Amino acid sequence: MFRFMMQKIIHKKWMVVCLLIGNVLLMAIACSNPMYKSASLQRMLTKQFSDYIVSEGKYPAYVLAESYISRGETGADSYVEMTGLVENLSDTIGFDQTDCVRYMSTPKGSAISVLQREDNKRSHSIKVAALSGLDEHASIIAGRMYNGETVDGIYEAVVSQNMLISNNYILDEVVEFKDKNDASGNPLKVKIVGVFKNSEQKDEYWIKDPSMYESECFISFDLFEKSFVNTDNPSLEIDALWYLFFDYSRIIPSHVEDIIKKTEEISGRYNMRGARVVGEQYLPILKDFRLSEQKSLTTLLVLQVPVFVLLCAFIFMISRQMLELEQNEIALLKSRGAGKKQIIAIYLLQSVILTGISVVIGVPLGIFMCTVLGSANGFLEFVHRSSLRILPDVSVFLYCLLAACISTAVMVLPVMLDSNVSIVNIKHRKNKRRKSLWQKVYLDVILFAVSLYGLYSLNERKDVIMADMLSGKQIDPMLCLCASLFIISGGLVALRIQPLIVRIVYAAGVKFWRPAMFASFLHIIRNGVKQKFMMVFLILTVALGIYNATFARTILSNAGDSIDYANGADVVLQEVWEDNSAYIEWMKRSGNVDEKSENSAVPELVYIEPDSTRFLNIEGVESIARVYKEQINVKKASRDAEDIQTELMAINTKEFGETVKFKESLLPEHINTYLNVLSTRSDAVILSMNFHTKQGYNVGDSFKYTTEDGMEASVIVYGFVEYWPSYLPEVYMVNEDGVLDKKDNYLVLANLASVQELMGVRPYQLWLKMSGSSKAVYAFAEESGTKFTMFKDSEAEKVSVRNDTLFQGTNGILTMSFIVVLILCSVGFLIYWILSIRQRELLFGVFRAMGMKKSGIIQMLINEQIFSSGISVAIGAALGMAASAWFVPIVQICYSAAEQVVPLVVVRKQIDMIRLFGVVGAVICICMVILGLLISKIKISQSFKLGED
Amino acid sequence: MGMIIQTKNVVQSFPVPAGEFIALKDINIDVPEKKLTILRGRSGSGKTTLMNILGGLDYPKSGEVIFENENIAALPENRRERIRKEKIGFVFQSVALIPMMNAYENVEFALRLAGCKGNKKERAMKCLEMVGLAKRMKHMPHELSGGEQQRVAIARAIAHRPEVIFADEPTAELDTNTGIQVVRIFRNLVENEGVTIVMTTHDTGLMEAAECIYELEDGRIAQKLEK
Repeated sequence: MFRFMMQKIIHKKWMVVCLLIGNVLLMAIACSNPMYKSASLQRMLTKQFSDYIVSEGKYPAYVLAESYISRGETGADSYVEMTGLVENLSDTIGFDQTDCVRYMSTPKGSAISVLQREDNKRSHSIKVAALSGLDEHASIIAGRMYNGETVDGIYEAVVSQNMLISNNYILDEVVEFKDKNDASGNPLKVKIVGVFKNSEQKDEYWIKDPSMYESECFISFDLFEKSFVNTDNPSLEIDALWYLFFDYSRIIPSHVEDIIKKTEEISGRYNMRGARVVGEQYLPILKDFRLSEQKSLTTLLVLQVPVFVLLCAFIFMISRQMLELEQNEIALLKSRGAGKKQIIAIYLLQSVILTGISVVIGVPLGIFMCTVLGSANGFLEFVHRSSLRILPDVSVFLYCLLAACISTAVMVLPVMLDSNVSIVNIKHRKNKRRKSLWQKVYLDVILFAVSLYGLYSLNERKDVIMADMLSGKQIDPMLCLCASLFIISGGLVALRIQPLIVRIVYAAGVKFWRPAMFASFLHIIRNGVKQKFMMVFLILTVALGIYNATFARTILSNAGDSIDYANGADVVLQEVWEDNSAYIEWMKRSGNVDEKSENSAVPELVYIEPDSTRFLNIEGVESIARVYKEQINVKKASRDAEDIQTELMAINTKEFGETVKFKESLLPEHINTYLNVLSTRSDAVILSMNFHTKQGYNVGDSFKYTTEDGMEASVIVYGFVEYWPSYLPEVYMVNEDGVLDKKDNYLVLANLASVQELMGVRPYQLWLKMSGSSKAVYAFAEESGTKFTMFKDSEAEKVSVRNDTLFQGTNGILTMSFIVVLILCSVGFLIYWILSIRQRELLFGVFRAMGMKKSGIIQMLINEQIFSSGISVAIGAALGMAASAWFVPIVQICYSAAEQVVPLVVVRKQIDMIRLFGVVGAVICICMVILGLLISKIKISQSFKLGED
Repeated sequence: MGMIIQTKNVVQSFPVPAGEFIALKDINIDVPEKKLTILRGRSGSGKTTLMNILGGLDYPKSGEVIFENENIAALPENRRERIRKEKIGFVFQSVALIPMMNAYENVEFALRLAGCKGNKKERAMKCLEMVGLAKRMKHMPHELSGGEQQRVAIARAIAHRPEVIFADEPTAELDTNTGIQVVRIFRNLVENEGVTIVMTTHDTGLMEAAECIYELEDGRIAQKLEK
């Protein structure tokens, strides 16, 4: 049996290679899925933690445990319990503990300096505390570090600068607590021997910055423990804290759920004073992660479905093709008495061997794919990026096993279906045209209808989908599957139409077709079923290629457009302006100003305008624009309509036009036209379109607006705009019922000069147009010490979008599936045509014997190509375009939702199409050359011999 | 009696792993015009090889094949294609009908290929009638029996009124009765249509139908019988 199988494999080596390619790809994709998933989730999780640290300035990756020892209690139960709990806490929750910092303190007590200095006679409320590892993480800025022993019953302590200053102590001062006694019953005395600060600027050890220890006198931790905790006679109440630090980069994403649960369970159990476990600092991050994880996972999985389906179809079809060639052998075996079981066993063995080899090759390929996926930057674009940490784990093998089972089943399935066939049936069946099952039950038409209905209902539910996205719900898989379904079923439906087209062309010219054309048309019409398999793959390759490229391009370019639109320029910043508010505050507080009296007026708030032109000297800054924004209240003069809270945007039209980044297509005319109109009069304003559509304003109307501090201006409407840089016409929000709420957002656009004349110069934003990287701006800020209240860098935001797990994974998977489909298509195309020619060698011989020229045969093949491959490519292109035009706008909701202001533009880049058709064309050409070689090798006289077999 | 084909010292050999295999050695035969000639011999004796050379499907290693005063062994492929198209018809052992065409189309296609002017339909039907298959002209090849298929092949071979028909073991896959039927059609063609027929066979029972018989043995003409 084994020998028979091996012979079979060697005999059909090319088919086997095809099968192997299909299988290897299946394995690679199957096992890359969990690997990529865990690796990219890991990256996402780590990123969320580090983003939090950057934005909040706090270190969140620790568990806080708290206990309490009451006075006179030795070996307090709760403290002992907590100590035990803390010891195993990281294991219980599932952390990789890196450090445990302990803090212990007495409650505050009133203490007076023994020195009784003239300027510091009153008592202060301070406490004795200890922080483990203080000597390693603190450096002494004055005095010295404490001694680990008491000297004459006095505890040596170090304090923070804040503590020293706010309590007005001096170094080496001894402080005596009035209400606290040490173990021996004497009043507790502490000597301040040094002042410390954190030795490193960024040190997670300092959960609380040293400056926040305003009342603590830190003594040696060991001494504290020895004197106040592990003593027979605890004279003081003790608060004990444990900070259990963990390495957030080592949290395994699949454990997050568990960690959340355990943390909540434990902190629920220990939630009172004296026994508390707090995880609030990291729980929000983990929960946030869990949400985005689900979103990404569903999307990524759903995106991969078409490839999985295709791969299985490919394996199935190749196996069936192979089986067709082997039917004589099977019949022979049967005639020699082999049972159905034995035949199935042979094929099972073959499949197992093939899948075995595929696993060996596929897993490393899968790992490689992961790294490629991780470096995807756009569709068919890769960058060198810090690679993913890829760890094959159990799930990889599970996925592999599952894929192996599926592929084995798919390979054996045709045999199961065919094993009842005897040699008699074979000859009968050989020439019969069989309809596939899916054709018989109109499965394709049904699925196509389903996908169209899906499209319709998705379009209807757009708002709901958006609301779901905004509230962080999981993506409806239907959303992504629908497009795949559309393409696949559409391709199958198109296959029903293709013969019609051929028939029409054939019938149109039946009188004057040359013999070669005549024969090839008849071949396509009557023998087309076999070609369908090839055509499906061609259609899907082209359609998926176009759809994937458009999809990837669209989500990225829309994200980019949205960023550009929302920011308005390459860099948008607002400097910190100095003003006289401190002086006004002081005046008010000191009672120098009587707000009611007229004559002693509050001094006006005056800002000191920084010199904005210094930004022009930065390398790469092309132009700058000053943009002043302020909330105003618009009152309609004529009617007693409601007031409108809106934003005033004041600009200098020339600067603005030079600096702004704005898509021309958003406005009916170039933005400069509007700017010119605005600049005609100082009191001209341009309003957002909803002033016109919703509030009935017209050009030429004049109205008044008031600022928050009561200043009033009268202006004339000069025009309306639907879009304007950084202006959101509508604000989306999800209300409590989970329904998406749209709120109109208004805009009043005015001249900066006139606004400044009215209100004075107030802090405005600076919009910068860059000719290249914005690095120089960062360098400038660092060098000059410029501080910003706002800083937006469009390019940086785009980069972070590209690096977003969802975007990046989408690009990676789209690219990967396109490449896989392309490989399948090339392999399938080649194998189909080689087989088709091999099978037809006799026929070609007959044609030649009857006097057909070689060129005639080539003409036949070319004609077949035009009407099978050509039509397939055309159908694929049409399907791909239709799918991108109809589905991309909906699917991309998952990727933007809230930020999407600019109308979505489905982006199709020519370069992608050139690449796609270039590759497909090259594949077809290579195949044709190989076929040409094959044909020229056919010797007529020999073809008869071959035909006799 | 005119000779339509004459060979002069035709030699044919094929490369085999052990060197050259000499398939034909110094073949000198004459094929009489408008007669049925049989090439007889055991399998492997070189019948088919010789026939391929006679029909211009293959080039001999050396020697001449004079077909109507022209050495077709020295003609370029495109000239031979034309000769095949216009003057020669083939009938093969393995039938070799075009599977995607029905009986009628198979015959008509031969007419198309030969660039035949005039009423192709009429001629095709006439040919099918000649082989007694007019009623089954719409059937696809796989719907016909072996004998019927072979008869369609003959109809196809004669459709464009070739001067010579080469038939390679046309009866090999048929039972005796059907075989006799096929030979009867051949005789009919020779007598009524004036076609020259060259056929190979190893069936000794059919010999009496031929006017001229060449017997091959190991690539040589062992015997020539004439009526």
